[in-house]
Amino acid sequence: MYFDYDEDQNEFRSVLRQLLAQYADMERVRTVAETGRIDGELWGVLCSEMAAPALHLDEEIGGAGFSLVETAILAQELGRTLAPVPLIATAIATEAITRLGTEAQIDAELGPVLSGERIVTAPFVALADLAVAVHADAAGALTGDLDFVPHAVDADALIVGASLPEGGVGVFLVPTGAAGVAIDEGDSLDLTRAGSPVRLQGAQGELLGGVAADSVRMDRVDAVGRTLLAADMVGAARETLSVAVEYAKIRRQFNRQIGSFQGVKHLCSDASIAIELAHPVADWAAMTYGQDEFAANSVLAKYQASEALTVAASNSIQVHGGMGFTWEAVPHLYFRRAAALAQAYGDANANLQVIYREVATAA
Amino acid sequence: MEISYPTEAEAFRTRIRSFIESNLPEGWAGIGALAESEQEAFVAKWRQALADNNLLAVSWPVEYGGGGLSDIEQVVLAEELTRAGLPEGTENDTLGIKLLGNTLIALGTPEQKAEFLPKILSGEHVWCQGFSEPEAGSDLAGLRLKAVRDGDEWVVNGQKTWTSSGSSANWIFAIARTDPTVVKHRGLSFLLIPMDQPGVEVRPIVNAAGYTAFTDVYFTDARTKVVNMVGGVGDGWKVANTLLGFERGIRATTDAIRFGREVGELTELAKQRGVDGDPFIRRELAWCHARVHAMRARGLRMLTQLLEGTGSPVSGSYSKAIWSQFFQRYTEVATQILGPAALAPRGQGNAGLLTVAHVGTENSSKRWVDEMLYGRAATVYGGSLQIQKNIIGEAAHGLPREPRLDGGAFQDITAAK
Repeated sequence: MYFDYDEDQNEFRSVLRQLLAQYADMERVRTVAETGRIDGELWGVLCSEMAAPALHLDEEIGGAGFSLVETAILAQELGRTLAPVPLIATAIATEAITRLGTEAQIDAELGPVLSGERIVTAPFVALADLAVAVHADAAGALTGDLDFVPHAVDADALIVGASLPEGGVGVFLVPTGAAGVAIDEGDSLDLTRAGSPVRLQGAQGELLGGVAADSVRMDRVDAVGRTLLAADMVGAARETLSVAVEYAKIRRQFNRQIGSFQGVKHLCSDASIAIELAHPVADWAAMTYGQDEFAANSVLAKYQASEALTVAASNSIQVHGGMGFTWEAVPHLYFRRAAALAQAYGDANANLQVIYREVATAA
Repeated sequence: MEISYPTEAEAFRTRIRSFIESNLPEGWAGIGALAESEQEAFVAKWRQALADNNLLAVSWPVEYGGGGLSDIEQVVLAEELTRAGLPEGTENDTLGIKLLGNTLIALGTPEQKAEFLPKILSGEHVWCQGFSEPEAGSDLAGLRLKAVRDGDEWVVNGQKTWTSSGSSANWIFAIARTDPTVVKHRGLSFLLIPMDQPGVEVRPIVNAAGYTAFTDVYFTDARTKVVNMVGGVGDGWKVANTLLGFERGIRATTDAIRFGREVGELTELAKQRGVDGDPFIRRELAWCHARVHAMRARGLRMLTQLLEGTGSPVSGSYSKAIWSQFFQRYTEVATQILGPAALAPRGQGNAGLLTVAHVGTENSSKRWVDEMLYGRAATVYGGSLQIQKNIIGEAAHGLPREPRLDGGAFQDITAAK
């Protein structure tokens, strides 16, 4: 029985914190965010020095041989700082390539992604759900609209699920520079994880595995996305709460620190309680990576973390008062993350539908 | 990270399971399936079975007649009893054994240990707790029960309230004010008072759900010996805090078990009522299952921290805030499922239990309506939700306390009213 971080994992976290203190202070994060791009330098450092996207992958395919818990710790710390790097999209892509690709595809595609040389992104949508909007023809040309692809402008390729003419869902790797790929550049709700709508019109993709994808394997790819997003939201929720708490200690009204008012204090406590619930659920999902229960646990993790970040980010704005609704103050960046990720892999209602199917009927 | 229990703990679990199996009547379906008239007798018999197997005072060291179980063994026992819907003893035992017994072991004199511990175990002394008062709820340290020294006795006057199982008790541990001239926390002392005397009167309180689980206890020149004070004069607040610290997370993993069972029965109720296809009901049920999963995950995190000694002192406040709000919400879902049938509660009730009904209680409208009504109490007793949020904000996050208006001698702040 040891359902907590071990010494090495705590050490890993503190190394990450030092690194991110250097590369992801709020000023730098905001400067990069204004460009709508990723922080290429930080991503390079994370890939080369921390084996960022390779942490949980097997050593024989070029991974670092840790567990998904380590990657989740990294996701938490990135969520905390809102650093604009494509960790989670990359982890979805590598999971798709390694679980669904042929040996030759893994050999060809994985290395450059793990080194950070190439960026392969993926929408935060279940692969099978993508296939409702995207269709492949017999030659592997894809047509359909993607509402939002994170990091689309920076990406060399993207992973997408598409319905196959013979039935079933195929998972494709699509170079973003290919003919028939149109990226609609513009504003993003989440300023620190920007993305774009992408229209595919006969874009040529490479079918991973060369055949229709196995649904259990696709579930596993989706589960990696949900689990790491849950970790990201837990980290973001902790930080936005901590910023609110610090503000409540400094800001004075009625000749008192506002944090001494129960009306303000309880906004912080409510966020704290939500995080207290969400954090172990997120860890549980990461811990069960690759097990039968992983997919169901990932839905629970995403749902609970989204609830926690939504409460924490909303309450943080409220604690900050008018200041909290200014562009220059930090809270809206976390609120934007909360609002954006609430939609990832289905909103709360969609998540609960899945939970009913997976958990309530199984119980 | 991993969530498997150590081999020794699993071996202990097997032992407990076979103990449970061999000590239950054939066709056992839970206390709730017994007629109300038989329940008390069963609990008494069950208490004896626990005592005979040294499983009654498991948190006490062996030298005091306890089970001397390790933390993980206590956790496993609590899990298995919860799973089977069996009590750890009578309701008074929780107060006598877990709270007072452990406090005496930690802070009692050798004479107090020799006098009281065996009688707690034998059941000769049946304990209740006298903390809350009409004028001291959340502000417990503002209590007024007055104790004045008279020779080798303390003379006690005043009132305690919300005393659970007061009618079945013959001793009460109470905090009393022994010095009104000092700051309120410092003027308190912890007294053990026999209830079988003319100066002590117990009156049941009928609660909003119509049950009488609690009592008022009135003291009129009641007396107890000077040797029946735990700690010194003025140590009452410290002793009370020691006592309240004895929950220590042994029940970290049981909330998910008992609430999980409730949500299972709620899902069953939805099917029986033919509303399990309703998307709104489904959404609520899914939310309930998600919350039980979160309680399970958090419980195992707390268990790990209990075993490693890394737990947070605020953890109990999170637990209380989480389960009390959950209890409210899912029992409201129950009335949603029942619909108009909730307006005429029928069938077996919750027997006046604070939270979940006994295992084996029928899936009746009265049981769920009772629980829904009790949901209102859950965020009040045992430290209100708002007090728990204060503790979380202040102790976990370092937020400032409200400015205090209750400094100075206790007699001065009460005189001002």
